[in-house]
Formats: sequence, structure tokens, C-alpha cells
Amino acid sequence: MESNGCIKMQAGLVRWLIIPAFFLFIGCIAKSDKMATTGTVKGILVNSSGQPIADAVVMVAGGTGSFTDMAAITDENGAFYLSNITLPGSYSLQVQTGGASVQKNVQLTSSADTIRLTY
Amino acid sequence: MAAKTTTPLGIDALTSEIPALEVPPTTSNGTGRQGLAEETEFEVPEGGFVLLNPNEVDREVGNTSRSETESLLDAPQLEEPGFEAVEENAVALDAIYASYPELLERDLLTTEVIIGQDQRTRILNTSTFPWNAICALKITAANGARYIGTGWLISPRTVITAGHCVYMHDQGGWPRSIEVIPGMNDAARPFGSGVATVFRSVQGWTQSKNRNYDYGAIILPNNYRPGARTGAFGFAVKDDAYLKAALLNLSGYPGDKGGNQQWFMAQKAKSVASRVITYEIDTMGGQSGSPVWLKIGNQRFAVGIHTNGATSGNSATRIVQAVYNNLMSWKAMGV
Repeated sequence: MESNGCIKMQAGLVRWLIIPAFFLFIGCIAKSDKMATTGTVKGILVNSSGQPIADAVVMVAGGTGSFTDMAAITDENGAFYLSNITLPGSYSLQVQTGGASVQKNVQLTSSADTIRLTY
Repeated sequence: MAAKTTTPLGIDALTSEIPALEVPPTTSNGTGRQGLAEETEFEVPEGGFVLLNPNEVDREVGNTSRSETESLLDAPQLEEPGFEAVEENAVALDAIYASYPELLERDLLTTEVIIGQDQRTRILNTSTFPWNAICALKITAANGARYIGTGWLISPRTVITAGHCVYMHDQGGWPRSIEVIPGMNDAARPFGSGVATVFRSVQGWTQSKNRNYDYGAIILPNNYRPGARTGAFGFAVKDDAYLKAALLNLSGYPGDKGGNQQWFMAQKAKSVASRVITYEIDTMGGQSGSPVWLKIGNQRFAVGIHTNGATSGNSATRIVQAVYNNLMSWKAMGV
């Protein structure tokens, strides 16, 4: 009897440990799903003097996950928008202007980031 | 969703005329068939977007109603079938690779993909088919942001492209306009250009932003019918085994080359999933919307729409029956 009581107590203890652990696990999965999202990040392309570069082509050359293969064109203020990229993530951006190109590595955390690239 | 295993479908009766010996080579086991369990598929987070009923993901949506579109375009009453203009003397790399796959194998042995080394070949003569039916896209989003992409003609006025080229969730949805330039070659525009304001995609992209449904169409204005001069791609539904064995051709306008030059590459698929074809064909930003096609005899059949880059493999939205049905519908809008 005493042994049965001990087993019952242990089973109850295990239940109280397993149930919260299960919900904690589910919560972690849900949180990790929420953490990875796709979004658009604004960037500014300037030359070494800090002047904006217009009509340059900016694209993702490599990085986190899968990204859409559309390239952005900078406007008169040097602004561009990279769409449908996984955030947060690390990316290699390729800038092509005037027949020359350069790659820059950036670390992006959210859509609130603004990338500042100096060409 | 189970992959199709039926007889490959073509865009029209021409498919049934394909001689058996012109079918792309099979894999080494002679059958080329593999189980569904061996397939892999890219998943894309759907963060915050609507989960649709599976029957609604391929439902067409557009920035105009059908009646508005007909009014805008002054749709002609004439109907004409799709066609492909074949230039007998054209230098067609896809044709060379289809006829002499050993050359492709040799080329593959000597180089790597951008996931390694760049293997792309520039198309110097873009005025012959199929290169002339591939279009550079200059996209102006609703908020004024600008992008470049690629599309391909399936009828005189219908251009197929990626869904994200015609519907940008974070940029105001449907674009303000897209300039379409068939066969663009640096400053040369051998077939002129047209500015489109009528677009189509499907709910699976516009509402769910699901990578599996990333495809759409541009309907050119009535007064610009480049496909009548260039010829147009066919498109087809092919089963898994066929796609795994076939040589895939991809050509478009990559941004790392300035976005005004057409670059091509061919290779077999890396994997085939129910809605996605994955390959290691080199691509860069600006090639979204490029055709992924098969060369069978003198016919070109698109089987995918290039959409994504990734270091693990670039990928296309696969043309399955539902996609095929929408392409047929959009083709009819641009006759």
C-alpha cells in the first residue's frame, strides 16, 4: 500500500512536470515561427562623399533562406526597397551601377532597419 | 498534394505530335521515376497572411474586373491560337543542349553555378525566338519604388511573370505600371516597348503570400502586340519523373549585369515538389518571372516561372494543372 502510494505520488509529480514542459515546448515553437518573417527593408545608397546615387541596381546575392529574385532601382535620393526577405537575416547585397559592381554584407533585424550603403 | 502522373499535357494539340525520340533523356535507371517521399519542398513563412481554402489559392484576382479590363483594353473579338516563331538559322543554346546533352554534361563538369562559379551565357542576338519572347520588365510600384524583373510572352499581349512582380504586398499591392521590353539588348529594343496597367495573379499569392502560388500576368494594351511578331512560348504540365529527367532552360535579365542584357543557362532540376521546381541554374535579382522551359523538337514549353534565389537552390513556381488553367485564361485576354 505504501509502495502504491509512493508510485501514485511519483506519477502525479511526473504529470505536473510533463504538462508544463509540453506547453513550454509548444510555446517555443510558436515563438520561433513568429520570429522568422518576411518583410521589406529600406536602404540608401551613397557615394564616398555622402551624395545619393540614383538609378543603381541593388539586389540580394545571397543570404538567409529563400528570397525573391527581383532587383531594386535606387531613386534620386539613393533610396531602394528590398522586398520579401526573411527577417532577421544576414545578406550579401550586390550593387551595380555604371558598369561596375560591388558586394556588401549586411545584418538585418527588422523592417524598421535602414541600410546605408556606401559605394 | 499528389504530384501528377498522367500523360504530360501541352498547351494545345501540338503536344500529342511530339515524336518520342525528341523527349528529353531519362535518368540512368531508365524510368526516371522516384517516389514522392524523396521530394523536398521549400517552405516560406506566411507570417500574418490569410490561410485560404485549398480550392481558392489559384482563384484569379486582378487590379481590374474582367469587364473593366475589356473596356480598358478595347478587347478585340478576334481569336488566334498560340504560336511559336522558329527562326531556322537562330543560334539557340537550348536547342543545342537538347540535341547534344553530352555538351551540357561537359559544360557542367568544367564550371559551377553561382552557388560556386557563374555559368551564365549572354544572349547576344535577342531578336530571334525564343529569346525575343523574353521581356525585360521595368516595374514602378504603387508607392513609386522601382524594380526590375523578367517576363515571357504566351500570346500577342500576355506576359507571364512572378506574382511578386505584379503584386507587392509592402509596396501598395498592384504596381502603378510595368514597362515591358521584349528582347531588350542593352539600349536596343528590337520590338519596341509597351507600358501595362492591367495585371493578374491568384489569391494564394495576393492574400496568402505563399511562395507556391507566386505567379501572375501582365496584359499589354491593345495597341502593342509584340507576341504577334516574336512568337510565344507554349506551356505544359509535366509529371515529376519527366521534370527530373529533362533539361531545364532559363533566360532572363539579371540585375548584376545591369538588367538590360539577357543571360541564359540550362541544367537539370535539383528536385521537384508538388508546386516548386528547384535547380542550381544561376540567377540574380531581376530574373524573377523568367521562363523555365523545355525544348522538345521545335517547340518550347514553359514548365515553371522563376521566382526565388537561395544558396541551397534557386526555384520556380511549377506549372501544374491549376496554373495551366489560369495561364490559358490569361492567354485569351491577350490575343
